[in-house]
Amino acid sequence: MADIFNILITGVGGQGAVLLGNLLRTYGLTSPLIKNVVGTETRGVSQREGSVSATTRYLIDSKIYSLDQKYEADELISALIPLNDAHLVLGLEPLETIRNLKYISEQTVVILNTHQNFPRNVLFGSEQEKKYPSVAYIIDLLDQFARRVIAMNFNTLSQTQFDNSIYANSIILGVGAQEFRNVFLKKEMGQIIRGNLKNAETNIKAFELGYKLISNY
Amino acid sequence: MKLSQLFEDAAGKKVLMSGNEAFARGIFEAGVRFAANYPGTPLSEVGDYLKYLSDISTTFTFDYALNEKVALESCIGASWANSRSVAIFKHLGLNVAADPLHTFPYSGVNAGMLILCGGDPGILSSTNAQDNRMYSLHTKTPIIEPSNIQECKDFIKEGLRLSELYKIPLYIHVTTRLCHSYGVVTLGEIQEPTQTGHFEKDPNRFVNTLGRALNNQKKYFQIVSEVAKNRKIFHLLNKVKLWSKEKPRSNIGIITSGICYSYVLQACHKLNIKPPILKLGLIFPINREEICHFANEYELNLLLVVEELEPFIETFSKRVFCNFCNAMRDLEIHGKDYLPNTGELNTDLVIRFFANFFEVDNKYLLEEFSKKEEALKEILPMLPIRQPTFCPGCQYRPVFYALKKVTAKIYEEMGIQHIFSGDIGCYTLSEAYPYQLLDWVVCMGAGVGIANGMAQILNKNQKLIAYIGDSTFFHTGIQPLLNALKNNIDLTVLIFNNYWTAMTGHQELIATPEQFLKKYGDQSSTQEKSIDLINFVSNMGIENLVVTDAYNIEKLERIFYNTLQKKGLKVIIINEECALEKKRRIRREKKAELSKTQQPSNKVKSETYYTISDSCSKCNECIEFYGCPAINALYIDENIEANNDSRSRELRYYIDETMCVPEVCPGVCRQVCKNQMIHKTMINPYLKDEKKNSK
Ligand SMILES: Cc1ncc(C[n+]2csc(CCOP(=O)(O)OP(=O)(O)O)c2C)c(N)n1
Ligand code: SF4
Ligand code: SF4
Repeated sequence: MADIFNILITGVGGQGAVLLGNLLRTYGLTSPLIKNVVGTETRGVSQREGSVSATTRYLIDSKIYSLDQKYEADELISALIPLNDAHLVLGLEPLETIRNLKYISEQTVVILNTHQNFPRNVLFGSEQEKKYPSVAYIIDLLDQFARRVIAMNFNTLSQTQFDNSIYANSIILGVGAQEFRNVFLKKEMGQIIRGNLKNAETNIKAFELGYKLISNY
Repeated sequence: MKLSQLFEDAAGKKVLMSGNEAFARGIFEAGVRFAANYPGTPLSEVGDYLKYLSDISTTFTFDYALNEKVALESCIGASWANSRSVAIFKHLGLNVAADPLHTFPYSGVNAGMLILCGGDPGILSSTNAQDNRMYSLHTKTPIIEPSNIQECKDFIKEGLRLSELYKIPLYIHVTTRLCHSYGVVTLGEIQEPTQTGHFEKDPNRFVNTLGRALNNQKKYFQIVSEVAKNRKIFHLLNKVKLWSKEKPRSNIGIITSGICYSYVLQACHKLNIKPPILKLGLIFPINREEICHFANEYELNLLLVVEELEPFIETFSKRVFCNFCNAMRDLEIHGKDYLPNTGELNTDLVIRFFANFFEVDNKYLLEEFSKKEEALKEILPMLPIRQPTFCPGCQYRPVFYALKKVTAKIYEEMGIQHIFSGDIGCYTLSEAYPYQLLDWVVCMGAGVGIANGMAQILNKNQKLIAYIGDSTFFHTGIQPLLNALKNNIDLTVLIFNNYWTAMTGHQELIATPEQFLKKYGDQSSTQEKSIDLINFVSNMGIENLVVTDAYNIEKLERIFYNTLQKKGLKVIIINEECALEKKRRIRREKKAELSKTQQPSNKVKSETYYTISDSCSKCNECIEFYGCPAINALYIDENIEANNDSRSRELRYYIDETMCVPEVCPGVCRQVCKNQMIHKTMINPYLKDEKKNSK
């Protein structure tokens, strides 16, 4: 018997949500804790700056990580997460994260990058009547629904630590891995990063920074 | 997954792949010798993978056919000459291929033949959600449907085997969700394609005229009913899911198929119910005995059918129990009386459906659902959407910018309103703000088609402009244009010659210049010859034909203004490569060039950049009305988080270097800036890096 563990990654095209989803699925294939893995990605109509989300779902032995579900190995097929069922949300962009509120509930931990990507059409286009909600409002909203919200401008953190904001996702991944140590083995995650990302050494450093971040605070 | 890995000889290995990768892998493993495709979501990538395979393989041939009808017909020919073949396209393509589809099964196939067709019930990237299973009501083609990624691969092999066994084509039904999902697949052995191509003449079988056709039809119907009755096939492709060794306690059974099976499983877990589930892999024809057997075996008094779109399985089930199964005549069957017949299903919808019939012990689940939905109803409509637009530097942007100005001017000066007859391709985005130059979209080729009739009816104060892309032109656009020419209709046709089938992922087409064709190996057996669209159209004898490039707004305005006032058929060919593919192509070529000369790749020459000057008066012409996404704005005060009302704050406009494509776009934004605030600069990328580092 096993439990399903659901990860949702939300963001904007080009932010690396698809890559992160791939990475987590590869971990699912190789990790000794995980018996089966599925996932998918939904992109907007275009390659251009649209909303993107990716899912990864693990089947984990109930002895290791129990969520009170009892699935057989061949019962994990759908790559879509049911309503309220995300356990870990990696929110790469605030607006895109609340767009996916549907999946967020008392069992969800949200790691949110507060760095905003303004849809240009809010300023100058078809959506001029609507506002990009403030980050404070977004965090507040997530707090109402989620079990735990860890929000921070990971771009700034990455910029100050590594002189470049592109390592933000690896830091976020580290924070997520530390939150669910029963699911993510640190060493194996390091290997997956090494095997699949460019600038692997800095990415591993960023991952480790994320891993230690919360206990350091 | 790397393309080389996808076609690796590694039976037994477990790999992660998408549904589309699994289909391509299945085609490879099954020893298919010929595949043909016209691109379309959700299956576009399958063609891309097979194109690669055909370039590296000596035994496999792949063709990007001009349209789905040609793709299907080519595959019929290949199969008749004894090689396994697969035709691949999206659901809409079956409409185009419907003519041969209704006749050739009478003659049947020789080597196995499949039609792999991707449906889009959520209309995620199509113009309709038609349920292609319904085609089999009149074509009688058997339908199989995979429900997970492993089956995507395996059903290709099974399907070809069955097709060969019964000598009839098989239809593989799949939908977007499965094509784009990833799962673990165990690779299988690779079978070599047969190497002889021989056609055995048999007029009685292949020449479907009067008496012969009737005879062949009878034979074909006979074969299909044999497939229906074959118990082995039923148990090979279908599966009964029980939750434990004991007989289920509930008298409610479920029938489902495809991706819906996964929603059913999850719904059962959530509701903690354990009904027997019959998962169909063979959806048509239905084995009546076996379905009855399922109901009898588990003493059902209620049967719930879970499927997307039309009540296909449901209707068949009802017929079985009403007309055939004596013991179960009053079995209650539900499906579409509860589930929607539009849109995709999901676990949540299935839970709600089931909750009407099962004793549900965690009632709180449904309450939570409603609570959540209430909350979402308030929040979601408030959130701004990210509207899709043309890529940065796209060659379509100056065209629609100019067209908007000119048609507005003509309306002002002459009171003539223009109507824009749309077609399908990237240019459909002309519908969006700020261009809004699109009045309808129906299907490929219908832009010029619909204009054909309307132009003959319109009053003098309205005139028509029809759009068509190059891929669409060669797909189904030639006949409507010739028809317009024949009648010399008062119509302006804009043909977008951008060299690629851009919207579906930049597949090559007949109009792609030979030197641009993407080849992965020397063997490439695909395209032998390209056709120059301009030449082709020139030879049609259209009196008013103008060919123009796209990046000069003044020139475009002049051409539009002059041409639109003429009478009769006018054709304007916009001859400019898709900016996105051109950028990638240039980068590919540069890389290849550098690796040839073995120069380190950072020794690139200085590049052009465009910047907005600080004295910009914010007239918004470039950012809002031209709308290139590389032009963006930043709040001058950094602290975005503190302020809720964004409109009262001051913005600075800038051109995002990472998005602007100076190697393709010659700074069109400069042409639209009346104040000349956008400047061209030369900058050495070295300097750029240093600048970044010093920040
Ligand atoms: C019958 C059918 N087949 C395939 C598609 C998928 N499809 C949508 S747009 C398009 C091609 C458009 O190419 P082109 O006309 O050259 O325009 P571009 O995207 O290059 O601007 C295709 C194949 C479809 N909508 N209908
Ligand atoms: S893909 Fe090509 S044609 Fe389509 S919007 Fe982008 S640049 Fe334009
Ligand atoms: S030069 Fe101007 S119009 Fe062209 S891609 Fe760059 S920002 Fe866009």
